[in-house]
Amino acid sequence: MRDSDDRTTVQDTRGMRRRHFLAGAATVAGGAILAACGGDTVPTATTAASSAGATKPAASAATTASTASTTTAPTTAPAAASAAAPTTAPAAGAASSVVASAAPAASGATGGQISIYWTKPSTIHPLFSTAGIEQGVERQMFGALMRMNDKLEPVPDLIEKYDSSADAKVWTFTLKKGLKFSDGMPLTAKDVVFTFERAIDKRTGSYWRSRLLIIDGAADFGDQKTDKIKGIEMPDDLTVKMTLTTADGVWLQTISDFAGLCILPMHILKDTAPDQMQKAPFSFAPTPTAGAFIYSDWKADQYLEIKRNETYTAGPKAKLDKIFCKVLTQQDVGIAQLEKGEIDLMVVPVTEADRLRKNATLTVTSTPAPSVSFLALNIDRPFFKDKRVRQAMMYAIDRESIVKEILKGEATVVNSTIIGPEWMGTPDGLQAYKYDTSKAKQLLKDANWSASQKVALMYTPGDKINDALVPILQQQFKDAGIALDLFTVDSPEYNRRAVTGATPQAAGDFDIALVGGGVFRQDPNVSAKYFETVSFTPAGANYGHYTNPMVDDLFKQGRSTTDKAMRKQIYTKLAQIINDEVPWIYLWSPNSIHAYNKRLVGFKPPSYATHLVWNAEEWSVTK
Amino acid sequence: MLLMGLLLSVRTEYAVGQYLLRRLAISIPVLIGITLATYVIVNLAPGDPVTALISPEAASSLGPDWVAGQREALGLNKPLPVRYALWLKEVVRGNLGFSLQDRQPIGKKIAERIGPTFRLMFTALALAILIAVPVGILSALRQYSALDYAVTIFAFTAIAVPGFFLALAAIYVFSLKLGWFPTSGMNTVGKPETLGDSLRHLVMPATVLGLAEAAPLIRYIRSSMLEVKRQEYVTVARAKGLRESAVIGRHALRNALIPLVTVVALSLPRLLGGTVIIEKLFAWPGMGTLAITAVQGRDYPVIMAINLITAVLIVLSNLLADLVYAAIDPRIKYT
Repeated sequence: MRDSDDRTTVQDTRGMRRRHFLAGAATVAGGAILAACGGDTVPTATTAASSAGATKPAASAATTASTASTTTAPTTAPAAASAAAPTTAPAAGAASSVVASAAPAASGATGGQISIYWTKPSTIHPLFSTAGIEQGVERQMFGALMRMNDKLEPVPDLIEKYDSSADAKVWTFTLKKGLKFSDGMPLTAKDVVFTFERAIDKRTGSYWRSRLLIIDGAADFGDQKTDKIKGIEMPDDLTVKMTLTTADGVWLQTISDFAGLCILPMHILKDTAPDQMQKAPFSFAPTPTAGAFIYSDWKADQYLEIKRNETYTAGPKAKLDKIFCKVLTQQDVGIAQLEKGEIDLMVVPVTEADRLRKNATLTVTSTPAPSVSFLALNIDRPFFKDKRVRQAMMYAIDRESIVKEILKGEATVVNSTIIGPEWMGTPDGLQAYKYDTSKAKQLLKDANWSASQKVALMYTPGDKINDALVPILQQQFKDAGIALDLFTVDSPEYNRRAVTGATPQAAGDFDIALVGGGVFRQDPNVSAKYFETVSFTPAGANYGHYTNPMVDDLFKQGRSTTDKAMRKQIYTKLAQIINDEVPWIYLWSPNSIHAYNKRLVGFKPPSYATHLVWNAEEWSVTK
Repeated sequence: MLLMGLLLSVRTEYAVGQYLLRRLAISIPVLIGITLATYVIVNLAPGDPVTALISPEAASSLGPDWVAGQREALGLNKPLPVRYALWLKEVVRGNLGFSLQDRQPIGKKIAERIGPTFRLMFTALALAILIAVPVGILSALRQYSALDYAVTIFAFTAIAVPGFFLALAAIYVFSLKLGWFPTSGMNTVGKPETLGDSLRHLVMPATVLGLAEAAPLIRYIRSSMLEVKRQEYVTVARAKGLRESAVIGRHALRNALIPLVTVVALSLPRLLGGTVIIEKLFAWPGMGTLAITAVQGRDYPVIMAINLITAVLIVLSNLLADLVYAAIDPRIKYT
């Protein structure tokens, strides 16, 4: 069973946010590396691409990267001239121009192979993949305009630079020079346009379509009313200009979502009809591609083998010869293989973390996941209308002890979903809802809660944490006077009841649903998707159809400015409201635990737990 | 009818062909009935392939249009009888259709997985027979001896202990602690495929499965042997003054093994359908793994295809059992 974190998505974060571009490469003498820029001062310059020579580990923290003097001089890079001068721009309505290139060159010898835990892919075609674990690997194979780094920030991948117009409506992407597919054919703007066209075409049935409809003329093209997308132009072979119907400060996040919109080889796929794309053999043997690794072999239910792309020009070539993505549907099997050294890397459940830490061959990392676990309450149910009932449920659960005992301390209790990024932090003035059964009882009494009222908790069994959690919830709710029924369903039925069966008028068919997901640490506006009235399921993720005009208004305000101080104020107020109103029962934000064999060098925990290979081009093996 | 009777009376060889034809003809409505029932049942399962493919998070970012579009593209909007008729039409033409999960042709998916399943299942079955025949016979010949009790205890334990427990225990002991065998998989990835490597991967799953298969076989053989031992012809053979080894080996054993044919033949479809749990625990890329992911993904055409194949195998192996039975036991006649 895939955990929900596999498929979290990052769209709908419309506010400007901190951009944090890393200048990976060294610059020529005195070249400044400006690492980070706030959302209020539009991101600026970075440096030239260097395809070789630099010795800094990639994407290392900004502080280390800025010590440019320690790096060796790069080879001359085409972008050098244009890259030097930072274009600082005032916040609102300013044009931004970024030339960026994470051109890392990690240390470590070339050669060797690594096996990672993978689950059964439904496809290896980036237009159709729905799981993060597939998407991460696809981005390594194909390359994308933008990709997601380990801090949930979009960074350039195949492009040399991008520009946006003052109103964030027109975006221009310039591809790196000399990009090639692995069959030697050049990758040009034509391939980019082709990819966008196929993604938008309704007949293709791509996962990407709905999020790209903001491009001017995309809807008409998708319905075959036009034969070109009006908002996508190709001034030359290396440049793609996109015009959006409305300003979108998070367009870069959108196209770097799902690990990044991968670029398809037009010369191979142009004769495949859109509705035949998913069926085509390319879906399980994608070749040629333009990423750091390319397809090598696929053995059904055994493994996907990818190998170093020897013709890769978008950055330094990968070091590893091969990566095997082993299809292991059973977590226990994966752990046994990890302990035995048959695989080198996997996401492990918190329950195994301590045991694996004792294993001398493994390194175990723990990083806060961007997601939150919560109980979604169906506010359409009359018995959840009273806020005091919902508050009572918060008091009824001993979250601290559960985190300590069941999650082995690998989670942080949260009292709202506004939990990041750094500039936002955890808002002040939130009710902590410390475990207090008598307070819960009192609130229920005030709300005239009937002891005979039964509520059902819907969840998918099979997850060790959830299976241990639900009986405790049941007991603690019972102590407070709430009769909780446990209602187990498998995931197709769960999704139908929670989301796709909902209508704009009525929430899904459940009382309480146990949910985990979201990328809340990326931006406070991510919460909009879960609490705004326009985000009622099935159009958004407002599972319980919670509605509050004040909340709607605050989210709107938060998106309309890029001033961080102001945004912090707005979202603090918002957090206080949703903390008091309790549209959900907030539980905790878990940590992602990665365990890897010490022979793997260069692994960094990804921002989405399942994007294991996000920086695989930097990996090497000892010995 | 007249012609048939005529043929029967003229050449007895036709009897087998006749019998076969009739049995096969009867099996067609049976198969249609099975597929119809399965089709209805799998479609009654809550949720559908689209909700199985995406998480709530994803569904909420894609919007209802995407979900509706996918349902239409997958043909889920058509009424159930129409979908069944379309499916049946394609199957009759030999087309098992496409998987709803990955849109790959099902014939290809099954072809890729039947090999690994064959490899595991036939090894396990051979192992089971090799263990069960001598042990069952010894157990019967020394009825109520210490050996008999030990075998009985072993057999009942092996039947009672679930396969997943044996599998996990084997992985823990022989792989993690002793390091004799790899934990799972069919080959070591990244190394050229060698016979030795394949065998090392095969040992644990085949043994776990073979033991589980052997246990009931031992019981069958034991009771069959006990029964035969008391037959008059065995007494007669002894009375003739034959050596005990000849009595058992030539007269009793052959007859005692006849029921084995049925048991083994009827276990074939189950084994070829793949054992979900063993395949899952040993990450074996076979039919069981395909079946479980199809069910979890509400992949109706794949579920139907596996079901159909299993049904056909059951019909065929029943037939096979009957034919072999008749061939080795002259008391049985085609009727």
